[in-house]
Amino acid sequence: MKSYRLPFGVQDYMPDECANKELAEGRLAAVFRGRGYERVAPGTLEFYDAFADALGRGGLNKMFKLTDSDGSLLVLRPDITLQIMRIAASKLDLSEPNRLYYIENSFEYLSDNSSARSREFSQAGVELLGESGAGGDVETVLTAIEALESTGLKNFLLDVGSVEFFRSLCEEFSIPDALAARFAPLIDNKDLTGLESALSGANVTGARAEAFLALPSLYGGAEVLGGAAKICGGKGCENALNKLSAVLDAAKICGRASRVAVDLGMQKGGYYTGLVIRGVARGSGVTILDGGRYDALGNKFGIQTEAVGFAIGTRRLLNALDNEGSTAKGLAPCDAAYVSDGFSPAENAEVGRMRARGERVVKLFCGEERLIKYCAARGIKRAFVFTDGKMREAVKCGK
Amino acid sequence: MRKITIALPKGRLAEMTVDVLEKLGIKCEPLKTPTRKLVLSDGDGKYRFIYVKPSDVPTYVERGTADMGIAGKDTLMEERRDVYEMADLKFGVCRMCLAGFPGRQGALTRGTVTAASKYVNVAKTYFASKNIDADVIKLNGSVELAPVVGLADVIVDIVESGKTLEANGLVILDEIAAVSARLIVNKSNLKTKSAEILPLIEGIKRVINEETAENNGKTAKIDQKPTKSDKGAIQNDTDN
Repeated sequence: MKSYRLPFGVQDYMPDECANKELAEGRLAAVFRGRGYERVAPGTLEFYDAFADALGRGGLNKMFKLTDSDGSLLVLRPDITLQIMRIAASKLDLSEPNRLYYIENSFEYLSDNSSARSREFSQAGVELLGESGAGGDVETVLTAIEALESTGLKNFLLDVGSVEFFRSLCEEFSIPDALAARFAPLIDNKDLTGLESALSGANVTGARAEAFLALPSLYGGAEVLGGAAKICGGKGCENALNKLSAVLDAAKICGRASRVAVDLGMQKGGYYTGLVIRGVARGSGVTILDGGRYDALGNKFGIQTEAVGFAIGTRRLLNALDNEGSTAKGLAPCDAAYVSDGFSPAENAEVGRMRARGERVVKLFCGEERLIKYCAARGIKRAFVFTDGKMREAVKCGK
Repeated sequence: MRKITIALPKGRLAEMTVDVLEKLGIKCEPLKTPTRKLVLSDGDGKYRFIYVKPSDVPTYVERGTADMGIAGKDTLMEERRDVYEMADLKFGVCRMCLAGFPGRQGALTRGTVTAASKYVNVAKTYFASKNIDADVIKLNGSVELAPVVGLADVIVDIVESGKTLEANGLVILDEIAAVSARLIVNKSNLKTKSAEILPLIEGIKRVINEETAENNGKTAKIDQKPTKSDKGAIQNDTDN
């Protein structure tokens, strides 16, 4: 066998994995469709310019770039949300809400070849455009729970937070954006030591410092919202907490209270403006679902639209299912196999009928003995033979 | 109760961590017996310890193979893994420094500086923040040698006592960051195993705080005498 290497961060899905992937994606899509989401499939290549305003330097550096024949710069899509914003700006009627879902691969340019991330990754996700406030947040979180449950995943949790809470806190305390940007990653990493020194370095002291230092520890159940209300009395913070509270209430009504946890320390960078969601599965160690609200992203594309959504990392979801023993292994490639001494009308009719019933039937070109061995090795339940235009079961069948 | 996996950096930091865990009542005898095993359990079988190269601890924790780990801030600054950094353990204290020959600060402002370091990312970030163009050379050890033999103008390295620098005629030109051991935790596992992990983190924080308070108490006592005599001196001066 010749040896080929794959570039780091990409992977082949072999038949078993593909079957599991297709199954999971089908279930996710069914949940999305059931809630009125319509599928879109944007192209893989985009103009660099389309995203240049929406992304910061860090984001732009993480795009794979190519040069077009006329010299313009192209990118492999880094993120389907951005594409949907481009589509919204140019093709959608935004006078009514739009519900879209997608199942596509995206690309991230990584320089660190030992990264836990992939350079090509498959995602299934939804975008709800034009529903502001708590209603959209609630729908998104409930859709996420239903979607993950539909795949058979058992031990997972959605962490919900709000970057609006942190931003309102900064506003109330007159913290400039540059400083807020320095505090956010420290809060996100729950790095109290680093946060303390950053706060004192910026002369943020007393009650203001205490409030920020409380953020990393504001995680857990619904009681966290009460604790958060104490550190900040402003209207913006109150709004943020009310929306989170609506999400928790809705989860409770659905009997899914245990699926949702709060983490007000979660500070996602990028384009998020309100709700943020992170899905984690027991024993998987990485985020399997990522999302939130980004009402200001449209502005970068010249439109005004509220937007909220999430994406599920398919590979990570499959790994989590695998950890729970919920993926199928050694799937038989078909339900039946047969050999024939020549193509006959009877064979055409009989096999055609089976396939029309949804059975997977494969024709082999060998003797009966090899047919039986083939079926035994692959767990194929039925083997049959056509001789002189007549069908009969193979002499010794299956396992 | 599910077992918690803790990644320990082979060497002194691991030993100091074991001392803290012992104060929490975790049976650490198996960890103190010399062995070549890399995976060990505590006496009660509640925890699994994996011994790894210090710079690999963040990798094990980021990927969730270990629920938590102990890593120096220097390693965290260099590796930049996506993990929670939940407590300063206040041991393994040193400083990340820029060092070179005395009087060479001038070299930093003209043209391109050549710097040697084990911490390439830290060095690059530091020079970028100072608007210094730097050619950073990755070395795996004996970094102090680089300026002495002319491989580099300056080095970026951790400094504990400063004796190695001194012995090679080098001085600290700038302090980049304070370094100490940190307790890091996997972002997903903190949430999915919170019932097991949170009490342990709280326990570790408590022990560290008690020890710090105790040490501060000691320093305060030592400090007391000179303070008194200083006061005396001042009073004498005013008397005169």
